Amino acid sequence: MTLTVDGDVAGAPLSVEVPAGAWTVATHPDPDAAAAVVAGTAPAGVSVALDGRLLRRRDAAGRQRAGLAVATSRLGCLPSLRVVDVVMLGLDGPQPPLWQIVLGTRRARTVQLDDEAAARALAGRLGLASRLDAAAVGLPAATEALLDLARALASGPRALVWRRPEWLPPADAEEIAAVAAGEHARSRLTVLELRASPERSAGP
Amino acid sequence: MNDVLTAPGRTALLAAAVAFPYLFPDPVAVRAAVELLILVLAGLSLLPVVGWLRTVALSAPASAATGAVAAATLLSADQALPLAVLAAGAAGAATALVAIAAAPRRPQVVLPLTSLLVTVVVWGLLLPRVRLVSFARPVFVGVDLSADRALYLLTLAFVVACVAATANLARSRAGRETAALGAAPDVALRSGAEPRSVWLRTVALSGVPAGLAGLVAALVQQGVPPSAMFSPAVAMTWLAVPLLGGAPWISGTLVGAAILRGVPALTGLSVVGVGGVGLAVAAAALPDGIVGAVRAWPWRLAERRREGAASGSP
Repeated sequence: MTLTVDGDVAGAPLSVEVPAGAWTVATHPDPDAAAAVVAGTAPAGVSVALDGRLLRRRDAAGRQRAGLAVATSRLGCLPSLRVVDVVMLGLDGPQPPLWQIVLGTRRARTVQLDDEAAARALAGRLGLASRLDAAAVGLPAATEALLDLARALASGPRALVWRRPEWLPPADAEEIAAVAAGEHARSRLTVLELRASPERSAGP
Repeated sequence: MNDVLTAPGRTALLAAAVAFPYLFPDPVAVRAAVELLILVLAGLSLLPVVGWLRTVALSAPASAATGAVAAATLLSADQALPLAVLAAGAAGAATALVAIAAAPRRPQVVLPLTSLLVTVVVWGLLLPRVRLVSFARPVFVGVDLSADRALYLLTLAFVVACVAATANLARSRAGRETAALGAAPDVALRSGAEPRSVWLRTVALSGVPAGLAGLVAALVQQGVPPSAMFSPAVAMTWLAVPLLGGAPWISGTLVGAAILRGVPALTGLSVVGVGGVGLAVAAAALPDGIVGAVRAWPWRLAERRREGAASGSP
């Protein structure tokens, strides 16, 4: 799926076209703001198109449903959730009605178990298996970055915007980049990597 | 979600709660236990809003009041208890919806004000105008609720149902979205949460346990309870239940309710006074309540060890 991003973020242009199945690195003076704008969590400043179709809904939920996932490598503190719950946040399958959830019907339990199995399988593949039942609070920054990547991938996106965690030690950032590259190679996922550095280059 | 109260702990606690009125049949003790369970229902009603959405909500007494009025009206007209239960829950949810409907934008900022306003209106304007009705406690499936023990067990059944419903919600995607929207809104939005629908369903659901608390209060009073039971001061006291115990967790609600009912019983202090002190303690020293502090121990210890190792290394 071709991803096209075009516009201004924080006074600087962000214009890039990522061919279907490619990995492209884009730079911006404020890549965090760029990721937020593309995700739809910040005021619109860019137009985003998938396969030439402009995403008219500018909110994050609409963009996620269209197949665009954004991982900013930052999560914050989620004290009441486990690590596996955070991965499950990204899942995007049909859900039972609220009354079935509250009453704990068999269908609601089945969906819950299926979701958890899918999240555990994905997290295991990305190297998070040992931490899945820990609380999502006080996590090392590298784990947090990997967990946000897992959460973004859980929705089965067709295009991923990934903010490279440049604030981590280079070895940790490379390790997470290798995980992302593995997923890119595995599913021919279209990836736009956002970096703060001034150059733009081809990805792995 | 992750709670310190695991399944064996919940079973043991439930067994102890069921056995309580048989071990301590004194009517005063049973009546105090019913009041504790009302506090637990109030805390459970606040849990999704205060604990997950991390917003102060003060409309629980208003939801309880409308639930009490709806239930008392039906029971005084000799309607069946299950109908009164449904009406109380629905009245509680509808009242909570009024508070969130009045906060269409930035609900995390506006809801504390609108929910307080709803409580003030119900307590100060509506309740004094309600026709006082009285009724005899009904017989339900052969159990005469005029006995305090039976009323206690009925209230316990409401608490168990609300705990199960809250746990079911916590395990669902809806619950995870709610918790994420409160703690890390950006993550929730990037995960596809629709904030308006999350707020509406969470606040509406939160009104149901409060409505049931009102129903129990009506059964205790055998009529519409006095308006002082649903005042803004009571709203602050109820708020202390989840905040002191640990707002995001069911175990936090249980701990908070036990403290807020236990300390006044042991010391003779007023519940409202203890609630105020509890709020102050939670605000000053326990951002995630007592349960949060206990849960944070292992990773704080690990962090300290990491820091110690880092400072000891060359």
